[in-house]
Amino acid sequence: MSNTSETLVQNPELFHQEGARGSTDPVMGVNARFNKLDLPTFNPYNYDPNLKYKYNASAGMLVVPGETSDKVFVPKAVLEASAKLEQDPQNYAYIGPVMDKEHQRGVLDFFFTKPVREIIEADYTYSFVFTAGGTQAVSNMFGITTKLPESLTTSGQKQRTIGLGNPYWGGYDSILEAIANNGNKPPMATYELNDSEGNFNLKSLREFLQNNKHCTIVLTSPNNPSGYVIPPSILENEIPQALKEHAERGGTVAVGFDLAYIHFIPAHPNYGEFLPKFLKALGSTLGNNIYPYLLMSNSKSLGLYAKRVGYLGLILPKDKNGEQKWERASADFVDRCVGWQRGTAGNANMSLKLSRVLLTNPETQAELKASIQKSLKEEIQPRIKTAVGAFRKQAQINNLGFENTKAGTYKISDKNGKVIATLREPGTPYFMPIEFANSQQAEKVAQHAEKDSNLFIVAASNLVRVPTCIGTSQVVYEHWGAAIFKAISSVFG
Amino acid sequence: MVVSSTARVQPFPKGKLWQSHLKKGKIVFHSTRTKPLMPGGSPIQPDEVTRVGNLFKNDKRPVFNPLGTQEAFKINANIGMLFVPDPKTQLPVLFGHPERDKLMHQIIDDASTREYLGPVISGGHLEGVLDFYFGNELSREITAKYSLYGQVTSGGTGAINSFLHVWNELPPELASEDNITRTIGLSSIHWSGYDAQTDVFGLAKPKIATFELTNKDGNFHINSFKTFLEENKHCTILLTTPDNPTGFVIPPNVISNQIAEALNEHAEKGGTAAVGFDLAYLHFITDHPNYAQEFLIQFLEKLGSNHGTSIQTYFLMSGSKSLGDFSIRLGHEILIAPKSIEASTNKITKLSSINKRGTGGNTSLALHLSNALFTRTDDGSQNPNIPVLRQAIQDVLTNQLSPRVGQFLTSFADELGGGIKFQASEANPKVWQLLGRSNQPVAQMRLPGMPYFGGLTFANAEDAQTVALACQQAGLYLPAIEEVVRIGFCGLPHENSLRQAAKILSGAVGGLQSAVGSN
Repeated sequence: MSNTSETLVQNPELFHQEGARGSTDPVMGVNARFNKLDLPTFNPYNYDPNLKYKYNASAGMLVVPGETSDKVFVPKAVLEASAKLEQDPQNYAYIGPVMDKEHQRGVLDFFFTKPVREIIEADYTYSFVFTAGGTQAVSNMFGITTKLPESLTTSGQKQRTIGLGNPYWGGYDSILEAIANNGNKPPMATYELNDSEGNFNLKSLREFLQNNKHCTIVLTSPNNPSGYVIPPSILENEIPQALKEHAERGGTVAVGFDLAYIHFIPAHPNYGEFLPKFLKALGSTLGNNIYPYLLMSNSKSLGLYAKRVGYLGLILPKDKNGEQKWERASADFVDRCVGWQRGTAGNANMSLKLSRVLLTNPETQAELKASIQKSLKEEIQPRIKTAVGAFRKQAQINNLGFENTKAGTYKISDKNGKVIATLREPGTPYFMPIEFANSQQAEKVAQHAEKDSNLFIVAASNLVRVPTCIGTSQVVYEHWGAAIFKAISSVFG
Repeated sequence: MVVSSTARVQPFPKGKLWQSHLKKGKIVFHSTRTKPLMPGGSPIQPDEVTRVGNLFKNDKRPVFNPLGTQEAFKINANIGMLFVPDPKTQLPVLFGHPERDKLMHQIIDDASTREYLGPVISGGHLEGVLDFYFGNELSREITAKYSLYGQVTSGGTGAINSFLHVWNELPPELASEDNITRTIGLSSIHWSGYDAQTDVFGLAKPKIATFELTNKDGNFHINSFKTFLEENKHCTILLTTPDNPTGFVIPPNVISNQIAEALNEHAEKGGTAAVGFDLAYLHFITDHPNYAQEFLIQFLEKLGSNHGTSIQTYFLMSGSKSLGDFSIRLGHEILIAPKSIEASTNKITKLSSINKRGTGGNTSLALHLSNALFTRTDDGSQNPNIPVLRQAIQDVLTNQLSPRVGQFLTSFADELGGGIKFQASEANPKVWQLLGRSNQPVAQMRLPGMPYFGGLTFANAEDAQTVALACQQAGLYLPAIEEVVRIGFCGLPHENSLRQAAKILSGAVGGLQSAVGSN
């Protein structure tokens, strides 16, 4: 049996599969092994209970039920706009990633709300560039902040540490690998995203900052793989306070908000409203010591996975007294990104046109938001309860305890009543984590699920990631649950 | 070429067109030197073509209408995209294919193509891609004889990026103390996009060295290439053929003999080289319709046991030019290695894939498109789209692109006056010389083996820049790349556009002091 954390790096043969997604990311390894296994794929719309199937629980694309099979969630307006664009030959011309101001305003409106955009426009200097998906936005940020432009650099900041909250998306590693110089990746360190109660671990972030004077940190919220959402109040108060204190000690931080799943937070439909308060709380450290980057993706929100639609923004103070300091720094940022993207071939031409069509029309944008919210409320959010119900049943079948200890938290215990895992209802219903005491346990559970039941699921850090984004029906969760709880039972006796 | 290095050029051209317009009061000055899109202070600069493209966009004059009677206009001969006259309106439209359009719409309607995909291509898809670029028979021969690794890349640029990146950041398993530092080898006049690629490497720009692409007779400069190899034991070389900006095509027999021999000698001395053939314009070679078939297998076989060990061979392709799919970003990177060294091929493969993922350069839609266009049928036969696409390319090459060169050169020669001449060289009729008033050579143009671009080569970069700037002032945008002014025939689809461009260029050349002489 393959180890679930075996990446493609350890098994180069898997790189030769059609559509392989070369990466150090374990998800890609799991997915490649799934593709390689010669068994029929389980189809909840049409299956024979007597046959043996393989189950893909590694994908991260949002699907919704179709007539005869699941389909990628794509709002109707996106399909229409896309089809129209592709009929005009002129739209096949090459263009770069620079966005005009109207398009940038549309991005702020779409991801952060119009009132937030109005504050940003009035009080700050900002620029966005178009990227080949959220991945390119991360690549740009890592690339340009590890080689900061002169307008944002002092001699002491040349070497920056990349800081990631644990658990983190394995793609970050691949990006660091790709921007390495002669095999030397930029230094990377982690802080713990959550404490033992599942709350934001501010202490760990503070410790990270103390140990890394000049750094680029990523705040991924909602988080992949855990689905955890950093509460807005933490983003508005505690985090900027910690950053300010770090700045007062002479440190500098490029803070990247990776908001790829921002439209999928049921408790905070306008999550982006944290931004003005965060910026205000930074005071004079904004732009001088702290550089906030915004990383967005329309892969999830609009189902544009294949078209690679993402954005990277930088917010700086407003110039005063006729100075052009921040305007220049903002232009430097665009300059850097354009160069970086040109160099890394990350332009996504027709996708930029599509994004512009969709986001600069207020009516279209409102239609898109309504479509996402409707799908979130009626289709995706209910999957959590469905999954919990199915998992509870499977826990019982496998003689495991499954107790609701507090709102949204379920303790899984062995036959002796000892708690062995925790299932938390996530802040975003995209993923649902089952947490174990350590990464080895999570790994073993995923291995057993794959070996014993042909369920290909991802173990990341100390958790097993249940992709509720692709589990559209009760029967799916029953099969997944059977495999997962059988594996838990095997691991914990 | 004999041009006084001390000759100073005027800041503005004073050619006859310019003078005539000045007299008639027709010159309308526009600020083309607007605030650059990318202000200074950044170590990463846009390539020259991008910079000139931005100036063109910022120019407020209307775009030249080949059917109109404008006095003030701008013409884009900077562009690297192939335009053709619309059959109905005669106005320029991007070259495309009905078959491709049909397939694109099918892709939109097919829900499965909305899914994210990685870049790796294999099996019938990879063989189909080879078929499209190299031909059906050669595709089968390569597949039978060699170990292959292929990726869909974000355009040809993505293929180049992936190739350069992997070979200049060798990881421990492929690197030794000796070869970890590698030189990137480019021809001295090269596409400035290569510089943009090398600017983004990790924390330090890699060492770049150049060799002369052509000698004074206009042939491949094998001695310069050998000198480069002698001076750079471990290197990553880009051989761009057809070349951008000059349009020069390295003759197939030169690749399979002289270049292969030079690489073998290099390997025997302990050197290593990763050679990337940048074949973005492969389908537009007039003299060699089966270009790859004339050199590829011979070249690989000549490398013998050095192939895959000391000498790595990559083929970097682009669908942008051949399909008019610029905005979809469809390119291919193909590594061809002997079957005997599959293990090290796997290591290279791994690195290529990681790079693509890590730079955000995956192009899922392009992979879906490539698959639909090229993949062999279930029984292994050729995809029926391929002959259709090839014929479309051949038609546009024969009927559209090739005639533009002759039309432009005739107009250019006719417009020149004041004792300045443009004529074929006696020594080599394929090389046209621009002779100044004192009959001294000022510039030359080798008739391009690929009519997408033509390069007017001056004695120095300053002359080229001056001419390009003068053209911009008069409304014609073209880039000066080192000492070459690149004329994008691909962007001039109408005879009136060609004539106007020739007129402006002749006026700009006429203002060059080295052309008019010191008197």
